[in-house]
Amino acid sequence: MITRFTRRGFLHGAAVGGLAVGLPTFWATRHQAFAQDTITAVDWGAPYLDASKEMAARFGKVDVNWAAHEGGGAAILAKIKASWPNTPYDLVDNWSPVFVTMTREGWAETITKSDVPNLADVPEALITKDEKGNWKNIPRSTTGACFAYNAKKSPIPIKSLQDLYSPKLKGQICWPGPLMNTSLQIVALALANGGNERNIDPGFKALKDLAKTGNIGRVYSVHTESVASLTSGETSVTFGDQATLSAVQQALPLTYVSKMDPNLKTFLFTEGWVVMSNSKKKKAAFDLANFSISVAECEKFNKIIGLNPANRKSKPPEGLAHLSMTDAEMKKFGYIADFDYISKQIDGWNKRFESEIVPLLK
Amino acid sequence: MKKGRAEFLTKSTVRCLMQVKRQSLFLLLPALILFGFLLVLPLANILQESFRQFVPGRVGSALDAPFTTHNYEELVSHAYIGFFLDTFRIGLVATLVALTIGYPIAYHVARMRSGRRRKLWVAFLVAMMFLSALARVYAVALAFGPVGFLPLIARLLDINPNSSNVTEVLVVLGLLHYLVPIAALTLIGTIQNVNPRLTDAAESLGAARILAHLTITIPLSARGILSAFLICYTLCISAFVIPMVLGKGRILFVSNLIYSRFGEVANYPSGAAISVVMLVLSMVIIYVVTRAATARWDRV
Repeated sequence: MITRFTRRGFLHGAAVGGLAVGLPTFWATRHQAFAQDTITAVDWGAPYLDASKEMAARFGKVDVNWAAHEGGGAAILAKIKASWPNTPYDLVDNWSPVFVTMTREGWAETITKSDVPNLADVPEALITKDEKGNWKNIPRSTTGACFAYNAKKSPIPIKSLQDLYSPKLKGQICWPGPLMNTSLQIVALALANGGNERNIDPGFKALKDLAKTGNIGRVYSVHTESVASLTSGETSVTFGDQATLSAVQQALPLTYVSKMDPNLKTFLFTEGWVVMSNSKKKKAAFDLANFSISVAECEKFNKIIGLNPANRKSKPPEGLAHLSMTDAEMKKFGYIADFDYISKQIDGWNKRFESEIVPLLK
Repeated sequence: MKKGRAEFLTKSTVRCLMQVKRQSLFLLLPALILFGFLLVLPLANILQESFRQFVPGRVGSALDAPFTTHNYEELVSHAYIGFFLDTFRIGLVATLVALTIGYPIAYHVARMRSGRRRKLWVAFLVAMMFLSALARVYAVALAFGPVGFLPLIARLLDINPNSSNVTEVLVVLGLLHYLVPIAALTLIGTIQNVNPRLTDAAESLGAARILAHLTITIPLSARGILSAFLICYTLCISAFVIPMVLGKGRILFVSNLIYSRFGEVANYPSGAAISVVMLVLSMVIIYVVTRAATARWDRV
């Protein structure tokens, strides 16, 4: 028997096929279709993403499509630029240097206390402002970056800058690439040698001397590399942000070189949300961000990720004493870098690292 | 009469060929449009971006950014030439080693008597390509890391495990993990087309086995070797994750430089300039190698 292929048969088949595919898809996503608001938020990988998902589940008034940062915080800038003004994101978690760039590009929505009432409990000094003084971000955590070492593996304890140059540390230093921590590690060397972010030459000279010693075993360009290098025992000394060092500390005992040598500064900065200025769901994004920085939620979140809460009423987790500083300690051991200036220099510093430092590491 | 008929045939043939050509072009048109849209246009965009001025602190170049050759000028330095040389040199070493290891594997598989066993081997080689590249890279990193074999090998050979030579060897090992199955699979078909009786004939005339292979099997599979070389070399010089993880940030490939500009610094013009230079150099190298090899075959 020959089966004829007719127009009616084709339409019948297409309708059945469409229903077969469409119905299950609709059923699976029906709550999204009927949800009041669904926003897209970007956060870092575990443990940030998991902690933020738990927070959003407790909030319950907004559905969130979660996306993870691919690489450092600045990596998302390329995606935003490529798709602007049709960027799919409503809420982006990032940190101080990237806040500055997003504000400069006009991507960060202006925030007021009426939008996010819990900002009343966040020190104003932590909030990024544009040139007109408008608030542009919602801080969740205060954190820092400093030197740290595995006391059990490191051949010598690190108590001063000069210890980094010790011949006993051959291949033991896991040094951040120039794009990690916006080169705060080079700023640290500059500060120790009479310079700062505006006079970076002493920092590069010190780094050249360090590279020549052969003590730099690895230069890491993503945080997971640093975690893998330290936990596997490949290296034992590093400079990193607190989130990375907290991840390492889960596997081995880490000693923070903070508040020890005035020449080895601890850098302080903030992490938090930016509401995208092109978002069509700003109210929902503001509400979720506001909930996330409430006293209880800020405390829960920062306990999981191991950072200090931006909300001054929230209790900080244990083990972060090295980041808590009195005014006197802040003057002596702490430093808040000019991220606006650094964001304009990082391209040049990256090229200097490639051309002046990498050849010395070969 | 004959001349007229020949003229008629020739004109008819030409008309026929023209018709076939027009039809082929018409059928190729969708693919050409897609090719132009997805490859040529982005490349043209990259090319124009490479001549734009970058303002530090911004993301990419502005729409009205002036044109400049600065992005290319800064590549003419000892350090950046070194990065290009490292990429091509390490790629070449890894490719040659991959071919040296892959050829005997391909020969063994191609000459298997049992078709079933040959299929299993081919399936195994194909399955190796489906393994996650990241998992493979970290497997090498751990196997030759401080908790693996490297400290023991370093002690036996009295070498510094942190030296740049050892790091380069690790990068080559990481590349080989990826290239050997590809090289073997590319060569299996070529070797199967070489009649094994030719080597049998050579041996029966008194040639040693190794000489028979060197003078018959390998020259006859030269085109396949060239194809495998080009495929493996292209994969090597475009490798990103392998030098990033195994190179320990001390051995940088050009792809790592491009990533840092596009992914982190947002200096698209500089990244585009490096990409264009890399593309041109790669095409020149591939052209020179292909021409040199085929010229030799033409002479033979």
